[in-house]
Amino acid sequence: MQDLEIVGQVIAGDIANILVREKSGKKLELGDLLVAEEGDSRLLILKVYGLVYGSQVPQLAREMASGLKLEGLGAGLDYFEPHLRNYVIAEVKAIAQVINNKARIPKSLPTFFSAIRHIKKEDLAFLTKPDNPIFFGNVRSGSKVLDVPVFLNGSDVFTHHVLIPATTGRGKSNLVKVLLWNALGSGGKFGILVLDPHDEYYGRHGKGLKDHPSAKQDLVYFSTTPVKAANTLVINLQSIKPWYFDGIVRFTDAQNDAIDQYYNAFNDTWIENVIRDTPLPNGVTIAPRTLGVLRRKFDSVLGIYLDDADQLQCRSKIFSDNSGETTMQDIINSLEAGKIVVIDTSRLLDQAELLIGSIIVGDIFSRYQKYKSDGRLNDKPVISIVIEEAPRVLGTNVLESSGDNIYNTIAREGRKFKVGLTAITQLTSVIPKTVLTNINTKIILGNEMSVERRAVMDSASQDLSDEDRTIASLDKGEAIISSSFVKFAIPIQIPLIDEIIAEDNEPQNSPKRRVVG
Amino acid sequence: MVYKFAHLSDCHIGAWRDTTLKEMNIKAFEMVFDRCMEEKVDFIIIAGDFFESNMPDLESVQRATEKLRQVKDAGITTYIIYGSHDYSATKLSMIHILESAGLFRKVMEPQTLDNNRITLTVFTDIKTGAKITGMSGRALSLEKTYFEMLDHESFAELDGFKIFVFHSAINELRPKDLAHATSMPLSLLPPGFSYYAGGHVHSRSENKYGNGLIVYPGCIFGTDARDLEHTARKEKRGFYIVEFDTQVKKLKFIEMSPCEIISKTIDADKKTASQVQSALDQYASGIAANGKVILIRLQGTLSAGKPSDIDTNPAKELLKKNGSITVNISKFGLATQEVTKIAVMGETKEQIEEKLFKQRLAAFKLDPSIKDLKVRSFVSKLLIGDGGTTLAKDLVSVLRDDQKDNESKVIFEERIVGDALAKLKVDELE
Ligand SMILES: Nc1ncnc2c1ncn2[C@@H]1O[C@H](COP(=O)(O)OP(=O)(O)O)[C@@H](O)[C@H]1O
Ligand SMILES: [Mg+2]
Repeated sequence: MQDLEIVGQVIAGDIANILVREKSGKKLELGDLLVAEEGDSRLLILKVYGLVYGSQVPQLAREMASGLKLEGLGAGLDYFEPHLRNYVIAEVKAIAQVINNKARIPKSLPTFFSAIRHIKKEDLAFLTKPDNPIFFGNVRSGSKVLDVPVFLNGSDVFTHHVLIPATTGRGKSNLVKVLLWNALGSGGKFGILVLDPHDEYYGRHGKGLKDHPSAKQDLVYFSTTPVKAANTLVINLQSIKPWYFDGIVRFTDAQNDAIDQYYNAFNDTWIENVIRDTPLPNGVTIAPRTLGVLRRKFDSVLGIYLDDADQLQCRSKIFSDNSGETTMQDIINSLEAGKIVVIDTSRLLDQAELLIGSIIVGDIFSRYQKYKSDGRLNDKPVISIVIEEAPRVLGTNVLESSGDNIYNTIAREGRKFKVGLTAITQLTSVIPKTVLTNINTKIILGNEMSVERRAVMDSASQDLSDEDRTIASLDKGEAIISSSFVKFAIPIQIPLIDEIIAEDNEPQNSPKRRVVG
Repeated sequence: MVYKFAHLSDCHIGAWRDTTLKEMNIKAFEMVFDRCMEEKVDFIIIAGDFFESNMPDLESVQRATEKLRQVKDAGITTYIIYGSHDYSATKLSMIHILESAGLFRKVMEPQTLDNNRITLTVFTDIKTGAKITGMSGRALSLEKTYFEMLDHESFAELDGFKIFVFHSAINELRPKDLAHATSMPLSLLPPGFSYYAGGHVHSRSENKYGNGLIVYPGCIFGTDARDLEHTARKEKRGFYIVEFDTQVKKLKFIEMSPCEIISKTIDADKKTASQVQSALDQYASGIAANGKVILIRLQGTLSAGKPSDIDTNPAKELLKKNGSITVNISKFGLATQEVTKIAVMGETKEQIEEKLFKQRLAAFKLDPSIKDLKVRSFVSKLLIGDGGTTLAKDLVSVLRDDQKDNESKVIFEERIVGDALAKLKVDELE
């Protein structure tokens, strides 16, 4: 290590709290990544968790000196060689040991008195680009961004679920845009379903995923108010199976029984027949009150009712009895072809949005289950389902009151079938621990609520107990990736999507087209 | 003043190898045109695939020309666009020839606005003042690209009764059995027209779009066994007569059928070959066959015996003897437990072909060393997924074509190669 590089020296501490004296003027920061070299191709990566003052001068003497100065009695008074007497002590912890370019969990202390320097690009050469790479951001040391991109294997990460926890405004949506942008360029490796309640991903009004060079082939956008070339979100009532309501709409036993009867009798047209009050062919009768309540539920959730001319109508126009017959198949085929499907649900009621999600997710999941049993799963792209405000489907209270739903099932066993969740949330604490521990990768953005930080840290793949303060102070776009697919919790800086879009969109001349016919 | 026009599509004149069915198809077309004259419509719109190919056989052309001529003499203009079948990127097409003779008025006339945008000339029907424009269909739904380039603004100022003619399946409106066909989103249709005259989809549908209507009359007869089975089940065949002033006043579907079609599936599952044989013979002896087209499909996995053990000839003979005009008994859906592995099962020959193509194409991967996005996109559109299946089917249908009378071997070869290259869209690869 060259003298110029040295920023401090190990002077005391224990494995959980190593003390490093800061070289004067080096201004270490919270979250800085430091390195202690341990001989040829061995090093320890340390992270700064705390900063305190140290001094050779007894406290009383310091108070006295300060008093004299402040009260104007000691104008010429100063410490002899002040940087030797007063200094900063950094509290650091080893987060990784690197031996021959391989990282592992550190189990020893750095050599006593060893010199410490800032981390360099070369120290992180073990962060290589994996197969199926997805770019998350660059390694960050404190608030300094290194020229070291962090890629994780998208297939691993997406199938083992991703959690993106943060309070509003810390960059969750930006991060999802960055992930989707990179997935779009992957040539069909990932089929990603995005339920977008804020209609913010496609880029209807400004820049967005639609500006990706591969958007035309690999991005599919559905909206109830489609822009030119987008698809209309219209779903045929016949695509709705009774079990799609599980965990989303609560039915009583009597109602469930009625639903079963109608589904058995009329199959795909069961909803229409409930609404039309068609008598059951097998002579079974259902209490008119039960059917009445069902009709009201269909009205409130689906917006479906009979008009004066006995025509089925849908208030929101999303559900229909004569169009949208292939919408579900279109969506699922697109996902299976490794495309990104963005569904603008901004004009839907909460329950309708969840129901649509549940239909698509249920269909793709059962398709993938079938592929697995047929031995064809290997050829299929990984599926991820991006869901905003995840507690709406994964919250403890929802799971307790409405029972299991498809999202919960996927959290538990989706990985076996290459189907994963990407759950975005402000409130991690309301998601049950069993679900959280199934979510392998957490991309932790800033959060000022300690309950939420605790919930995230408690379920992380690495021991993050010392990161509480760091997470509280993460700025927009600053994050920590904790995952079993990384050797240590990597601090990253997520780029701003607008900059990526500008970079990837160098203007090019499109060839002139001949239009005939 | 209320006017009326006829809207039909997908006549596919020249289709069918079976001479009876070919004749029925042409007859259906003649019936439709006769009815148009009877009804004294002001004009006729044909939304694509008038002919089965760009250059159909001459007998068929002669029959079509005669009718078109009668209609023209009756003072009725026929407006037309190309469909996915009757256009050729490299060769002349019969539609073009008949247009030169004044029998048609083609309503797709693109104009380039700039590198990325086109608009379409709007024609005004002199008699009624109706404004008509349209977008032809192209093989592989290539017209989708044109739709993407189409400037919607340029039609914003049009007033009066406006018709947009097109030959494409629409994602939101297509029936379930077209889920795998190429198709485009509704939002690519320019808004604001009073009537969207659709073609390409072989089943009938009526839908609202803004203040207008999107109407598909479906094919008038059909081009394959699947179409005929649909006819036998519930699908009505015919065309629309639309009454209008500044809006649609009345939409009337005129049902037409040149013959009755009966379609029957005999379930062969878990039956022995001889059981199926007697079920078939029994069915054949029990139906009134006179004047009907009869399609029978044997379907399922035999518990004993092979499909070849079942002789369909006695049933066929009997039905013919009883007056059936054509009989088709299909064994493509039969499998047997005696053979260890059946690669593909399907209902019709076309479906089996399609499944086989799909299976093979699933294994096809784009060479990752091809980096140029434009090339990647071109090749993947052409070969991967539905595009590939369609291309394979199109190529097979081109290569299946027979040498025409009066066509020398050299010309025949040239034509087939040209058509095949057109399907491969080599002209797009600049
Ligand atoms: N990685 C980033 N770098 C810089 N600024 C960012 C970054 N991510 C987000 N921001 C800023 O923060 C704002 C809020 O981000 P957003 O992604 O909408 O947050 P959230 O979804 O968590 O509410 C954005 O408008 C953007 O200006
Ligand atoms: Mg957000």
